[in-house]
Amino acid sequence: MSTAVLAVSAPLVVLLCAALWRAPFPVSEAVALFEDIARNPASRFLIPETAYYRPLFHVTLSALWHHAGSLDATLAGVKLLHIIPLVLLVVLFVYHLRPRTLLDAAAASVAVAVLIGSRGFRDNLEIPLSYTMIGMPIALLVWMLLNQPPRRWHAPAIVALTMIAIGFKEQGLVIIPLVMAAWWTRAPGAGRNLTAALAALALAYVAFRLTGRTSWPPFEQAVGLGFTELEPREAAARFGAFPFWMYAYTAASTIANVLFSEPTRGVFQIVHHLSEGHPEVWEMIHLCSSAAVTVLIIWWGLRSLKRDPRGQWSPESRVFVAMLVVLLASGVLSFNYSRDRLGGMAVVFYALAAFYAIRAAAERMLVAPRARYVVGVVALVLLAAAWQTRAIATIEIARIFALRNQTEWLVRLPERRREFAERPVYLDIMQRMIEQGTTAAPHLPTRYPRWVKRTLGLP
Amino acid sequence: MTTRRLLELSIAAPAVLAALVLVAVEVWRVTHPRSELFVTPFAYSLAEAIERDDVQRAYAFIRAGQDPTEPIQVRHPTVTAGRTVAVPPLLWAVAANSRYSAMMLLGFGAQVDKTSVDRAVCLADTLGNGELAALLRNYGEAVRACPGVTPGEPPLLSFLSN
Repeated sequence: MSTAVLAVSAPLVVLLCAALWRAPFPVSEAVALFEDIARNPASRFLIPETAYYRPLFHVTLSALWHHAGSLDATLAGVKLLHIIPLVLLVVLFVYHLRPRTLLDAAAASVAVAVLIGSRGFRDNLEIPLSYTMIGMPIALLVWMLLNQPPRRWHAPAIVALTMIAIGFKEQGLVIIPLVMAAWWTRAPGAGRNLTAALAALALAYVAFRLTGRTSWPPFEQAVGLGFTELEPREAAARFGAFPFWMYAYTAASTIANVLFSEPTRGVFQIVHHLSEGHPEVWEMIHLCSSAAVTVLIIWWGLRSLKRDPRGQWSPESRVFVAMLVVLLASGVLSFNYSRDRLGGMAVVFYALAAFYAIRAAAERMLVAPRARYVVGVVALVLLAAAWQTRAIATIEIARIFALRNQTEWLVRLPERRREFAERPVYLDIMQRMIEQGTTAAPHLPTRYPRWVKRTLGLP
Repeated sequence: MTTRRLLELSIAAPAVLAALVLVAVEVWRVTHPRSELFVTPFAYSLAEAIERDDVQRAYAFIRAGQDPTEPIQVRHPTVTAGRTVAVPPLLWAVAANSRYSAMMLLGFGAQVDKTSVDRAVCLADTLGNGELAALLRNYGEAVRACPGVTPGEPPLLSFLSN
């Protein structure tokens, strides 16, 4: 049945990869990043003096930049750094669920759509910013190892994978509470020594980061609050004296974004549109489909916990606890500003939990009276359909990103040449990248009829 | 069909349907790449692409070798009063309020001289398009005075005759 689920998911994954492969790199993010790589030795990126510390990401880009042989090979390598983890994530996800019955396969197909259609996944598709996309399959792989009977190489592999994930982005730190949750719920592969080693690693890392930089502004980026967004300076003026309530709000925003698709960037856009009486169709689909899956997960999770004999943990209740812990950790790590992409690591476990919850709900339908059975089937079909529209929209949004990148190359060159006139390395790299930016033939967004666009949430 | 099988197939159906729709659309994309489902309407000339501000299509003409400084034949019921006139592409982009096309021409029309840009700034100002005028101002001389517009004549034609 795993093959059947992969076959049904293949068009989504292949088209997503094709969209990324054919997308031009953005002028705004990529050129400055490559300039940084070209101007500095790789060792420079190991020093934790900046707000954003992604040493392995930069070292990998540096290796590609200096040793790939040509610009084309470098850019292809950077794209593969995004595409390979994406494919790996979906394949590992289905492999881990290992559907054996048709009901399993049906629930798994919805769970794949939950994974791909979630905002936390979608917001991590922007090339060349692959760091969380690398961390997502790593977190899943660690979880798979933790749930297998221990072998000698498992613990070193888990430590190494955790360090790689953290090295690409600090969101990788969520793996440490994940291992702790696995240990607490007596996962077979989560030993005390491994848990202690990773806890020590987390403490050492936090100390290393805190000592590496002398000043930390209270807000690094714009933060949302209610229906509006505050620029860092404005946020600092209002909340700088005691920013902790704002941090709690921002962390809760990231968690709520995974659970309800709202708020985004800390701003309650859908609620705002609802209060004004003109919500978009896609907004209602996002809100309702996320809320429905979240309700199902809570029902299934609490039921799993109740069913377990005292002191024992079933694989299902373990997944529920893991999802809660990763969700909380993702929220805490995004305390400074909330973005959809910062929920990326939690989305993997949310989708895992969705599989078990939908399967449990379907099994419940089978023993329900006829009327409840019919209502339940209709509700599950609508839920599955809603998530499929979200997954399809993810492909279209990746294509829209690609077209936007190409348009940027066509219209922003004069402005960039003026703005960066004093930075010859930047201008040189930009000049060399014009070809890929303007002649790449991205898969253009499908020009669906307006009602389809409104349903998918496409501009 | 058992209730179990019906339930299983019902939950799987949207995923299967989505996969089929995606495959069908992509097969259509490969076999009909010029379908309106995938591309913007064809532009027969640089002027038409600029008028629609279809920057990808406009750039295709430049990439194919069309000189971005060479005047192009344009005709519009109001902007040229229905007459066919030859105008520099940048001026046409301003007259059509095609911001993206104007910026593309500045980026890829290496020979766009400052006098042409100044004329474009004046036209944008006259047409009340302050945002585009401000953008263009960065690439021209400091315009001191713009030529006047002949009363009753479309601004583009006045600028061409000045």
